[in-house]
Amino acid sequence: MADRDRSDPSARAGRAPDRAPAPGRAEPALPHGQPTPSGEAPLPADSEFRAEVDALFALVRRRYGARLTEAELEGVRKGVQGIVEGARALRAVRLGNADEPFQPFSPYRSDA
Amino acid sequence: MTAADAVFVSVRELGERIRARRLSPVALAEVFLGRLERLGPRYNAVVTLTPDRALAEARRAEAEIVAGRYRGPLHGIPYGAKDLLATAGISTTWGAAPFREQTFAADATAVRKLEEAGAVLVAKLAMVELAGGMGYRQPNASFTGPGINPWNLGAWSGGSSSGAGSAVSAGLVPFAVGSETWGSILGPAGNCGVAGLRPTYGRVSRHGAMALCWTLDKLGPLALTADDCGLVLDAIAGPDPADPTATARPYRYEPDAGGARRFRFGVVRAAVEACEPAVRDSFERSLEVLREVGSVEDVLLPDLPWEAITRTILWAEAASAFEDLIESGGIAGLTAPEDHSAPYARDAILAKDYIKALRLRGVMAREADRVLAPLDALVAPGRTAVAPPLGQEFRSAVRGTAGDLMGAIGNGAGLPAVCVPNGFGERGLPTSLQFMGRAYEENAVLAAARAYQSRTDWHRRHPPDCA
Repeated sequence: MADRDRSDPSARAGRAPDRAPAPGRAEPALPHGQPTPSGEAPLPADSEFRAEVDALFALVRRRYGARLTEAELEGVRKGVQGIVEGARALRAVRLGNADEPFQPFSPYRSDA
Repeated sequence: MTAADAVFVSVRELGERIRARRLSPVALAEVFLGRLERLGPRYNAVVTLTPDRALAEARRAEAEIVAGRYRGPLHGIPYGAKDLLATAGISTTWGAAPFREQTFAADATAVRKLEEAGAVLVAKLAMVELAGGMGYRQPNASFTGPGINPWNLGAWSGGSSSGAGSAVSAGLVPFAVGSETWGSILGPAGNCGVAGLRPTYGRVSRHGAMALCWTLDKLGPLALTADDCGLVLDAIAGPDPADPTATARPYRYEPDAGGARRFRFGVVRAAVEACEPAVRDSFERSLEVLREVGSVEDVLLPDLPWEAITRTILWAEAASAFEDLIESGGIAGLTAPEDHSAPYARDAILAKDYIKALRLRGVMAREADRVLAPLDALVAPGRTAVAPPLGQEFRSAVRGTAGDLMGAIGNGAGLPAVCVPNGFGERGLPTSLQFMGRAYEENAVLAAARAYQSRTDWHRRHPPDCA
């Protein structure tokens, strides 16, 4: 298992991986279990975040906008914002090459 | 036998009476069918009563027991199934108006196993539409109406196994089978003051159950006691060729396990600090009880985006599971207005981020196991707050507007947890205590919960006006 031998040793040892600083992230993550005062995901101020939200929202709007009201579209935009927030939190964690998706897969044979 | 003799009696005790032929399965089924018909509408707990099937199963149970063929502790016991479990020839609506005429030809594996154990299906129980996977923000999110809490008719019973929670709490069924993707067993159990067991992922076959999220969905029981949950799990657990994720690891409930030994409990303080004051108070009092049977120590988890991992997996898989309904615009037929549009946002989940969540799930599983390995269970409040009022938007970890560290890790890593009532909070509503264990250690968490329930009487308190 050469790939695994070259992998991040923290993953092999079962230790938590390093958490990289979130690119462009203006504020640290909230402590676990702490809802934001407004009950909605905070909106980071950086332009990179806004640009990603705008681009992905434009895709969703192009696909489904004709069937949605302006109020619904605003709700969808907030949903996209939450998705991007979550994605940036995931991207901020560094993993090793050998850290595979934690999924079962096995080749299939009907006679097996 | 009168209704009062059989209502709010544990499955174990009912089973003893049936085995000793002091209680007729047919009479028992009639009692609970009557209660479901009379009181079910008060709580919006029932989608479909199943009297024909119930009475046929009850008569068969009675004949077998009279003939000396006793199958075990569920023989002749009525139960309700969340309406996402397929039942042959009986509608299975998934709680959603677009599927209200849906019928399957065969039973879900869990329903079949309960029939083999001799249990009696009396009702298909109400649920949040599509198990809440479309992003609902308030209780009125089912074509059968919002689930109503028996402890306070102005409060929600919880989601998404709404009817399972309220029906057990109000004495409409001795036990129910619900499902949890993230919070849908522990939530309604905690809100309604009953026991709920979320088994290890794969412990119970999902075959015949609505898929919301293939790698997070679990089926499990709600009942009056943790002991009853163990009895039910014993019947429904096991491998299934129809569900390749169902584990081949054998399971046998061990009701006598852990009787005399000392437990070792861990507490993640961050999971407690997020709770409302009355929930924290109940939890701190519970810790005093647990110190009578074991040690309690604070444990730390690394700083990882636990909730984002589980949320990303859930949203991405749910968007795929219901791709046809979403892309066709069929979600406009759902009850909750927010469910008409919220799922569209999930087109914004990038494949790379979903894969990253699946990779981080491995880290989550290893970290959770490292913390849990020396412990019998992590303990925490079952819910951060008591049941919210009807007619109001609530916060939700699934939507990212509340924290739920235990739920994110427990569901993301597929770990078993049982919750039991541990007091009361605002508006006379129950609070709850959860025990979460290592994978496949249902017997450990059940033993701990039994030890707690043997020293408390919260599970013997029942909602008013349920006679």
